[in-house]
Amino acid sequence: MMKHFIKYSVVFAIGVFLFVFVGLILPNNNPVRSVDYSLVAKHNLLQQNKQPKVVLTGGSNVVFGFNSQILQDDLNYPVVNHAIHAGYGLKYIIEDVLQFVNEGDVIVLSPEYSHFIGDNYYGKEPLLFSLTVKPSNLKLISFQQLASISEFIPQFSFDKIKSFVYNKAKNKPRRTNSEKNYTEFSINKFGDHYTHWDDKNEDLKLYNFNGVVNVDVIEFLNSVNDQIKRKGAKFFISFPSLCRSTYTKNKKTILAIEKALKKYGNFNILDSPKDHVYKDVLFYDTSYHLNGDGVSIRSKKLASELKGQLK
Amino acid sequence: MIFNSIQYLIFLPTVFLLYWFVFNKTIKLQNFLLLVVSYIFYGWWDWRFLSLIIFSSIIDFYCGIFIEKTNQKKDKKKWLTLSMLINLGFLGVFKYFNFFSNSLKEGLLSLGYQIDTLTLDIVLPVGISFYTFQTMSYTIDVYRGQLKPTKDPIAFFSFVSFFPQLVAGPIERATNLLPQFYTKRTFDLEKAKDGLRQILWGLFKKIVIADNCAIIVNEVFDSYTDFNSSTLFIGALFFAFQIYGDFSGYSDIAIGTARLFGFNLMQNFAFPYFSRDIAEFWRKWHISLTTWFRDYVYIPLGGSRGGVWMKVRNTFIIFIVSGFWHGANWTFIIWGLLNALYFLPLLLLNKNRVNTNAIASNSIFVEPKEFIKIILTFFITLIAWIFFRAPNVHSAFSYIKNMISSSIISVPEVSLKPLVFIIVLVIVEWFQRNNKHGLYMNELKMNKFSRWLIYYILIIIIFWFGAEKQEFIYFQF
Repeated sequence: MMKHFIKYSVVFAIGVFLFVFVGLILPNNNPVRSVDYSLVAKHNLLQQNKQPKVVLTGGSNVVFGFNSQILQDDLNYPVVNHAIHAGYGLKYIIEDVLQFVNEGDVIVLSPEYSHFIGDNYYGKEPLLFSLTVKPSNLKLISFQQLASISEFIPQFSFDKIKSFVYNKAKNKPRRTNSEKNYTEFSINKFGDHYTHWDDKNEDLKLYNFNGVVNVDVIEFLNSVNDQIKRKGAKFFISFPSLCRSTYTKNKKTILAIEKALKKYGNFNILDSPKDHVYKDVLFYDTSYHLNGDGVSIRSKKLASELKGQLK
Repeated sequence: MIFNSIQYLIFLPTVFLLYWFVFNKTIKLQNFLLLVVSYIFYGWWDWRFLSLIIFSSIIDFYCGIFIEKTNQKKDKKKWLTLSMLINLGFLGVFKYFNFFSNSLKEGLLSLGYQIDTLTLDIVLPVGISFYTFQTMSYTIDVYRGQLKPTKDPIAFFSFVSFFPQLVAGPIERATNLLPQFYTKRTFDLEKAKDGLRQILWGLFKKIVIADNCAIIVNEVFDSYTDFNSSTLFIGALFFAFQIYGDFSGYSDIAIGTARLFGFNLMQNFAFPYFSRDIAEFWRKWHISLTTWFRDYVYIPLGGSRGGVWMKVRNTFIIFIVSGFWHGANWTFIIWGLLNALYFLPLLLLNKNRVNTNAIASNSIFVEPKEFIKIILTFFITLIAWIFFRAPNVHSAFSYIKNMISSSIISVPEVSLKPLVFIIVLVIVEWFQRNNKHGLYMNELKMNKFSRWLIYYILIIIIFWFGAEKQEFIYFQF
């Protein structure tokens, strides 16, 4: 009886797993692909540019936070904006960029504050999108990262199947919230998300990142700093751009993160959180995403912070 | 750990295999395994609160033994009182302290006295109302002589913390569940298959019905002043199904899981929205709690044996206490009070046991007269649910006031997508109304292919239409 039950349960489960697997390997038939797909172009930029360069990395506060042309003109260094999404997790973001670090490079990391809380630095559902874009990056995934994203796999797979079936049936792309922004073509030649620069501000999405600071993340950053140094490159941390409303709501946590970074970190920190707190009107749609005016201000600020360090 | 998570998907088969293949030599070993995995299951939220369960278990284990040992009624009562004080004390501190403190402060303020009261900055331990009631039932039954106290601590601790029903019930009676920990459990294929079906149906109710309704309900209740009457009605309707899908879904998963391990838990919901009056509704909704209050509060108070005054008093006590059990907020007390008011006329007219027969037992369709009764009963429960969901009493009254206006016949301003799922649920459960759950198939003559097709379709529906994961509502109680 038991054998019978287990046999059929296993066969049934295999059916479900097969369905999930099909979803995972299904191609993306949407002609308007998400910003996750810009990773390929960003990797090409990093690969092609062999001379010493400034690489900006982090989550969406970076991809939505800079006009790299301003930095390039001010610093006389080529600049690549490698960032895409904070949800990939800090571990993945950094290990992805580490594959391309060469001697003389300057890596500037602006992690989102949520990366320091709980196990967020292992990544969440968006990491699955990135692995779909770049399956070869599976080699970067640790057991903890796999555990962190595993709960999203079934839903992710079914959503892919859903989208595939919809696009096939309608024979036209599924409409996204904005076809101009958040696509793989919303990125300029440096890797900055630029198509929103002239858009009207949307309702700001505010965040709460309350919780205990995870010191393991800082230990990880220490090891990253050592690796980058060994490659003959430089590593800096700059705090992310944040709207005043979210900063005020989360000041206690943000200051705790800053304190922990200064206490346990052995890397160079260029600024402090309040240096990149800007008025809400300088943000486009979320607490981290600057609009065109905000991007110019932050780019100039970072350029001046970096100037002294690059001499 | 929650039932609708990948962790549970790994946890359940692992425990199942260990239980039947590794720890199957003796009952003691199986009980030990259940105890360990139950603590892991609970500790997944916050391991610190395990100490409360362990402490509560130790107290009740020894109180049971001492109650039996002593021959003096007075001493027996002492041990029972100790157990009650500790269990209710935990509830009082963790769940009700801030409520009483703030109510005292507000009450005195309304009389012109301003005082600073102490409030505790503490988190409510998940499931505290469920397991304290379960363990209290044990000491009460031992005190009454209805149950022999156990001398087996592992069996008792496993009974208190049994993971399928630990955090949101059904609140099992010691007389039903505890003896199952002493007897050899054998694997029953039909029971296990039906258990899996019940789990699947529970997941459907939680993920498709409750979680989809929750999105609209939160939107409507959070800014109810911005919506027209029809939208407010939809908000209340969806909440009625959200709470049903959420809670009965949890119970289905709990009962189904227990069956995989050879345990029988009591039925907690018996398709309550098909009730023809409020008395029938309360015989079918959260049965384990309703019967708990009936056996341990209502009957000891005299039940409905005394005169009219006693009947009225006991009815109000039972419903208000039941409301208060749900949470430390006046909204729950009003919810209980309202249900008492609904129930009272039936009790006074001796009509509270009129509808004990199965509904439309020989027909697919219900008679028009019964249909009207069902709709009316549903409508009055829906009004009561508004108090249950609203953040405070004032909001609940404003919500109802805004709901009753001419715009009740206007087009709702929110998505009606969950209505499709609700219709599916109602149809399926109507056909299954005389069975134990919505996916009961034991007596259906269906081949394997058709059954498997139904399971796969249901799984696809769950993933395809399932909404963003929401925590089970009853965890907060």
